Amino acid sequence: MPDEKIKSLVEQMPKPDSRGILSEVKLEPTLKAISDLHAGGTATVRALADMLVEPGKGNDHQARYALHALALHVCQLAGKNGDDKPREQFATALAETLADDRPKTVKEFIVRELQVCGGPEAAPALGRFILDDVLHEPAAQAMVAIGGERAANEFRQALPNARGRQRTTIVQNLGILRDQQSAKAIAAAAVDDDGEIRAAAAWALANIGDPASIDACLKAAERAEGYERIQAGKSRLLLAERLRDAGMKAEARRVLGHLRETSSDESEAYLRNLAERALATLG
Amino acid sequence: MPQHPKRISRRAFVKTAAATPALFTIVPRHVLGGQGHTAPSDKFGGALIGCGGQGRSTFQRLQDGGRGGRRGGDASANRLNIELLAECDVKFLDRADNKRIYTDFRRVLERKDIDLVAIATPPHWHALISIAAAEAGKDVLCEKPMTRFIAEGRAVVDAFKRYNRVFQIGTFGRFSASQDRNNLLTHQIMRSGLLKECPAVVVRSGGFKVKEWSGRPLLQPQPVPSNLDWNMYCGPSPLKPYVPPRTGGTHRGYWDYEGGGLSDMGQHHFDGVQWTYAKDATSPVEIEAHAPPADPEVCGMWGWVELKYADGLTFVFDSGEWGEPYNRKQNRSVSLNDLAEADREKVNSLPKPEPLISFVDAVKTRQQAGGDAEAAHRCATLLHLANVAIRMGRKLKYDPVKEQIVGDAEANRLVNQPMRAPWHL
Repeated sequence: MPDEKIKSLVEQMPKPDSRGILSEVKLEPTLKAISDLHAGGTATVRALADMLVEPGKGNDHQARYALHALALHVCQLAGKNGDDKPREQFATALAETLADDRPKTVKEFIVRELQVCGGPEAAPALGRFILDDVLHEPAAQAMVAIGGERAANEFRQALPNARGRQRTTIVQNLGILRDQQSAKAIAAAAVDDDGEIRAAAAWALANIGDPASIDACLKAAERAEGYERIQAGKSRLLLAERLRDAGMKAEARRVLGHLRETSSDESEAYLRNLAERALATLG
Repeated sequence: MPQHPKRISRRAFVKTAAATPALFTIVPRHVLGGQGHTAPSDKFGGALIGCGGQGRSTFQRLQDGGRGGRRGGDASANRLNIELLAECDVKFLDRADNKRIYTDFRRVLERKDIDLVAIATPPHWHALISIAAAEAGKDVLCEKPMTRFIAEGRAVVDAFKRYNRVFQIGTFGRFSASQDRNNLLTHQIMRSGLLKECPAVVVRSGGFKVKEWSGRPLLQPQPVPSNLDWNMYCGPSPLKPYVPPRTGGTHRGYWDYEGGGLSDMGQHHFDGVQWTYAKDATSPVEIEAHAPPADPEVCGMWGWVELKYADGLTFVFDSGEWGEPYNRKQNRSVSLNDLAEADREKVNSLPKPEPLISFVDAVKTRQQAGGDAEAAHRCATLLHLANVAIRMGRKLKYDPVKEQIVGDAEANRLVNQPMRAPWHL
């Protein structure tokens, strides 16, 4: 599709009214323009990406709106026809634009659109940003939304080289994905000097529910103070629930016993009661 | 951790009292309470998290139970004696002392002398702070809307059950609805389970403030004010360039923090309706919206949304602010005439529902409050499902048990949205 045609279709996207809100959007012409843009094929995706600019450096609102509407459109087609190909083609073309030289704030928008419509095919392109100082967080969120083994693998590969905020993000998301293979590496993070990483690791281990992580989880709890101590209570309860659900009652009992014994402060009576009640249900 | 002035906390008193031998049965009145005296066991340490806009009145509701408070009789019985010990807001960077004024709610929740927390932050923080408060052993009154997306609500419900704490949503429509005779009859018919196909339609026309709480795209990023912790403000939501309307009430127009006027007003409008139709433990199964494609960043226009329950009951949100007026269905209530003769008698013989418990009584008696976490979550789910249908631009089928949209992986990404580390459910 010629660039001029793409531009004219983009100009049919809604514009802010005098108050700055999108009150004057017309349904049918907007839908028709989106459908026409989609008919332009994957080259349209790159043309739209090229229209994006950094926030505050120009008016790219209609291009952003069009890209987002297309991301939803291809998902709708997949839902209607059961044919995932248009979505996959769109997401692949969009992911490819991340390899171009673009400002990070523009790439962030593209990453967020992949969170809307991307599948496993987008995971490698997103994985390239997992250690980036700006894009690690949006990339991680998109990958967690996509889920699955390919996303988990990207996190797993990146963990040994991750430091600071990136490490917290990766550890947390491996926990959300309940990635058993990472349990040992996360256990090492549970004794990190950074309290935020420690807390993320303790929770991730608990959510994964690997019995080999019990010692690391309990040790982290003993060291915790203040808010981290409150979170350590949560992690041990979660770990006990995961172990119980997996039929490992003795292990769950050990974790709950630890919670009961170490919740020794007067203000932690509610935790002792909780642990006792949970122990009673385990028999 | 900062040291706080010594104070006989309610928890300390209760623990000591429980350990005191029964021999000491003569207790001074200043300990037991009574006219003009307050017993330590009835004195609570309170915190307000989110001090702008609605904050002060939310804290007031913490004390008087809002409209859920009992009427008449001894006024003091309808109130909690709360000492405000901590105020927390991300815009207190220039005055935080971490003794009484805070910017980080975690430092507030660490305090052992705080029993009750009022939460009046923007909604993207409601679930995480509520859950953290329960984990720290506190009871919570939280502003509406309860959450920003559905999975947050389930996590709040689970946390308050697990930690056996009291949660009350800061809207009280069900308390007045449950005192209306017609609503009571509808409630009895619906909870009897005798009406297999429910013909009722509740159309709420207007009052959703769609334009008022629409966001403004394309704004020029600004320097962050020196008193605002912008990173903490964004919290679990994406860290975006600062533009003033993202804070201070107009945050409602951004998907990162709320869901437009629909989220802002919906829980008010449907809290009582949901109770009346006995739908506190379930959610709609079909959702259809009439709306233009949504903007990725700002909340905008929509015409109407139909939400249909498994038994046929239909709620309609009709904005009246975009597109053709809603005309697919008319308001229609249920009556005893919808039932067979024998079933009418069964409904009439049902015991009346127990009065809803106010937040004040729930805290004192350790029972669930009238607007508890499950009821509030199911009401917030209505708003979230409506917004998911608006944002996805397609009809949705919802499984109210699994709390998942059926056969639509992309729509489910809005049901359970990833959070920015270190925040997670």
